[in-house]
Amino acid sequence: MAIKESKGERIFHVVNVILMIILMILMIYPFWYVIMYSLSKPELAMSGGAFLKPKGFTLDAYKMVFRNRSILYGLKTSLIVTIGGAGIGTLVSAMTAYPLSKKDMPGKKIFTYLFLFTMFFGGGLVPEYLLLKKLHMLDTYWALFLPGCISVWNILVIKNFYKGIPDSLEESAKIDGASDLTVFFKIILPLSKPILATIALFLAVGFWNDFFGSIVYIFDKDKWSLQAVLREIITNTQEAMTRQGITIRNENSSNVSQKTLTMATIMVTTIPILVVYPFVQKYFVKGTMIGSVKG
Amino acid sequence: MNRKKILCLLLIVSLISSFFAGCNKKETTSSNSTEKIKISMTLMGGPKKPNTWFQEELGKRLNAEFDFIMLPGWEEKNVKTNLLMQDKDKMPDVLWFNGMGKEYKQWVEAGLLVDLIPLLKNTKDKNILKKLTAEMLFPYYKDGKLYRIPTDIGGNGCCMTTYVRKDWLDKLGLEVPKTVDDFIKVARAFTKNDPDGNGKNDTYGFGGQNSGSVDWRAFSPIFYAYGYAPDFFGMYKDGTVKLGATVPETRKALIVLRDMYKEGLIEPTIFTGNDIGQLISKNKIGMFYSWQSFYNPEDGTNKALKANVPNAELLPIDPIKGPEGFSADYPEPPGSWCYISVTSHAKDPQAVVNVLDKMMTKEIGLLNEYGEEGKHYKIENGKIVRTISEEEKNNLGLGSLGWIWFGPKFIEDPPQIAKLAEDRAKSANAARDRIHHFSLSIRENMPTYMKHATEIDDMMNEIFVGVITGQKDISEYDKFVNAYYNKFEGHQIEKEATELYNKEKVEFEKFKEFYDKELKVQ
Repeated sequence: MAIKESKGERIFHVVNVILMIILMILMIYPFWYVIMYSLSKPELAMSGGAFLKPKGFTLDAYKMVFRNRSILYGLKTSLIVTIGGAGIGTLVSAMTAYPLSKKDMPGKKIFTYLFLFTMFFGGGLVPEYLLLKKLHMLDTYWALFLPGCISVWNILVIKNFYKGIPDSLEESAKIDGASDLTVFFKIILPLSKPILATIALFLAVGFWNDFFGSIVYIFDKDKWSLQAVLREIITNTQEAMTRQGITIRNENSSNVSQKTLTMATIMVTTIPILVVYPFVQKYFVKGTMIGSVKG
Repeated sequence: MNRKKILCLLLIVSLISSFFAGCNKKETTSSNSTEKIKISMTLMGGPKKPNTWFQEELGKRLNAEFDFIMLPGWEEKNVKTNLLMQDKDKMPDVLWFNGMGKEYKQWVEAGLLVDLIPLLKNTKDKNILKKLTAEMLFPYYKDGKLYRIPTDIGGNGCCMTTYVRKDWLDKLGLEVPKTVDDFIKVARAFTKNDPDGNGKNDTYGFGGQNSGSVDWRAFSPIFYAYGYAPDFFGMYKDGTVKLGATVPETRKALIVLRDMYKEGLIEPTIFTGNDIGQLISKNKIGMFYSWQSFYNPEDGTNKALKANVPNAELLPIDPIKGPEGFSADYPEPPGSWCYISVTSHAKDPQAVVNVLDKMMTKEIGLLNEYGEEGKHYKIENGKIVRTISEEEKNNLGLGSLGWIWFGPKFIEDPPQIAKLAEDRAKSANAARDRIHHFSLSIRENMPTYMKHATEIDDMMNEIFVGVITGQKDISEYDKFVNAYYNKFEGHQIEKEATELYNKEKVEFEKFKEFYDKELKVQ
C-alpha cells in the first residue's frame, strides 16, 4: 500500500513539478527558437516574436550551410581535433596521473607543485604563439589540440580516482610477474573506465567548442575548426560592429537570410557533440561520483 | 650496438631531409619573386573564402601572387591582427585594420609600417591619390608622414536620415512633419490613433536603435533640431568649442524628449537594446533615425516590412527644424573607419603600392563586385545584371576586396537614392561645425578631456536616460553640468577643445598646401 501523502507534500509535489516544467521550458526554448528560426522563411522570421513552429517552412538555410565549403572543412578539422585531442589527451592525462598517485614516487611533491603552478599561471597569448611557432606547429592541426591535451584539473581528478584502487591489486599482479606497463594498461586503465570516459568527454566537448585556437594559430582558413567558422558567421553582424565602435552599416550582411543562416549553422555545429552525451552519460554520472568520494 | 647504429642513421637521415626541405623552400620563393611579386594581405570584408577564382584572377590581372589572410569575426579580429604584427614572418605585406589606435602608434614607433607618401607619388597612374582628397588624408597625416590610408571611402558625408511611415501619415491624414511641434504631433497620432488599424494600442510614434548601449544618434531628430549632439563637441555661438551635452539648448531638447516619453510616444527599447530592423519590420514604430540604405526597396529590412505590411512605405524626410530654424543630419567623420597600411614585411614596398594602385580601377572594382562579363554578369540597357546566384558569388570569392577596394563608381544608384544621399550630405555638412569630429588626435591634444572622458560619458548617459525616462528630475541635468565644470575641469576641456579646433584649421591649411603641391593629381 502506498504511503498516503499529506496535503503539504502534495502541494510541494505540484509546485515542484510546475517549477521544473518552467525550468525545463527555460532551458529548451532557446534551443527550440534556434531550430524554428533556422527552418523559417527569412522575411517572415525577421518580424520576430515567439516561435512555436517555423514561420513558412524552408530548408534552404540548411542546404546553404552544407554547400558552404568552410563548414565542411570545419567539420573535418573539428572531428580530427576532437577525436585526436580526446584520445591523446585522455591517454596522457591518465599516464601522468598514475605516477603522481603513487605514494612512494621520488620527487612526487615537486612534480605535483610544478603541475599545479601551470594551473594558476600561464605565459600569455604571445609567448604561447611564439612557442608553437618555434615548434613548427602553426597552421597544423597539432596546434589545435596538443597544447590543450594536458590539463592539471583532469590529472587531479584521475589521480584521486586511482587512489581509490587498492594497492594490493598492483602488488599481486607484480607477484605474478607483470611489469609496470602491464599493470597500468591491463589493470589500472580497465578499472578506470568511468573516469576515463568522463575525462574524454570533458576534453571532447572542450576541443569541439574551441574556436580561439583556430583563430590564433591557423592561417589557412580551410583548417579552421567548425566553431571558429561559426563564430565568424555570428560575429559578422551589425551589433558586433557597433560594439567595436564602428558605425557604418554592413552592406554585405544586408542579405535577409543572414540570420536564418546563422541559426542553421548553430544547429549544425551543436548537434554532433550533443549526440555524444547520451552515450557517455552513464559513465559521466558514475565517474564524477566515484572521483569525488574518497575512502 | 645495433640499436645505436639505427638511431644514428635515423638522425642523419632526418638531418639531411630537413636540410633539403629548407633548401627547397628557399628556392621556390626566390624564383617566384623574380616573376611575380608576392603580396600577403589581411581581409575582413567579403565571403572570406580562401583560394578562390577571384584571388587567382586578381593575381593574373595585377601580375602578383596574392596570399589572403582571413581575419576572424569582429570580436577577435584585433587579437589576430596583433599577433600577426608581432610575428616577423607572418606579418602581412598589406594590413587592413580598424580602430586599434594604441597598437597603430606602437607599430609606427617600432618601424613596422612604411611611409606611403613617396610611394604613392611614384605610382604610375596615381589611382589612389586621385580618389583621396585632402580632407580624407588629413586625419592620418602626421609630421610629414602617412602610415595608413583610409579605405571604404565611398560615403558622401552622411549615411543616416529621419524616416517616417508614409502609409501611416496617409491613413491618419497627416502632413510630413517639419518642425519639432509637428514631430510631436505626428508621434502622438502614431501612438494613439492606431495607425496600423489592428484595433490595438501597440504602436509608437518614435523609436530607434540600441545595440547594447544607448546610441544618441537615434535621438537626432530632437537633439539636432536644438543644434547640438550631446556626445560630440561643437562650436558654440559664443566662439568656444563645447561638449554638446553641456549647452543649454540640449537641456531644452531633453525636456522635449522627457515629455514625449511621459506621454508614451517613445518606444522603450531605445534605452534597453533592440534590433532596429526587427522593430521596423514588426510595424511597431512610425518615425526613427537610421540608415539611408533602408530606403532601397532591395534592402532586407524594407523587404521584411513589406512582407509584413504590403502597403508600407518608408519615407526619408528632411531633418526636423528646431525653434531657431536650425536642422541637421549626422555628419560622418571626414576620414574612414578602416585603413590599410603597408608593413615592413614587404621586401619591395614600392612594388606593393604599385599593385595596390593598379587595384583601384574600375576594372578591378567590377571584377571584385561582379566577376567577369559574360560569365558572371551581363550589361542590359546600361545596367549590370548578375547572372549567378548569391551563393556562387561567394564561392567565386567575389567581394573579397570589400572595405579595401575604392575607385571610380561603376554603378549609379537609383535616382531617388542618389538624391536622398545628396540632400542628406548637404544637411549634414551644414552642421559640421556644430557637430564636430576632430581630425587630429584627441588623445594627444586634449589631455584633460582624456582624463575624465569615461566618467563624463558614464554620468551623461546615466543622467540623460534618467531624465528622459522620468526617473530623474531635470535638476539632475544641472548637477551634471555643474560637475562637468567643477569636478571634470570643463573650462579647461573647453579651452583645449577650442585650441584643438583652431589648431586643426591652421594645420589643415598647411596640409592642404602640401597636398596641393605634392599629392594632388591634376
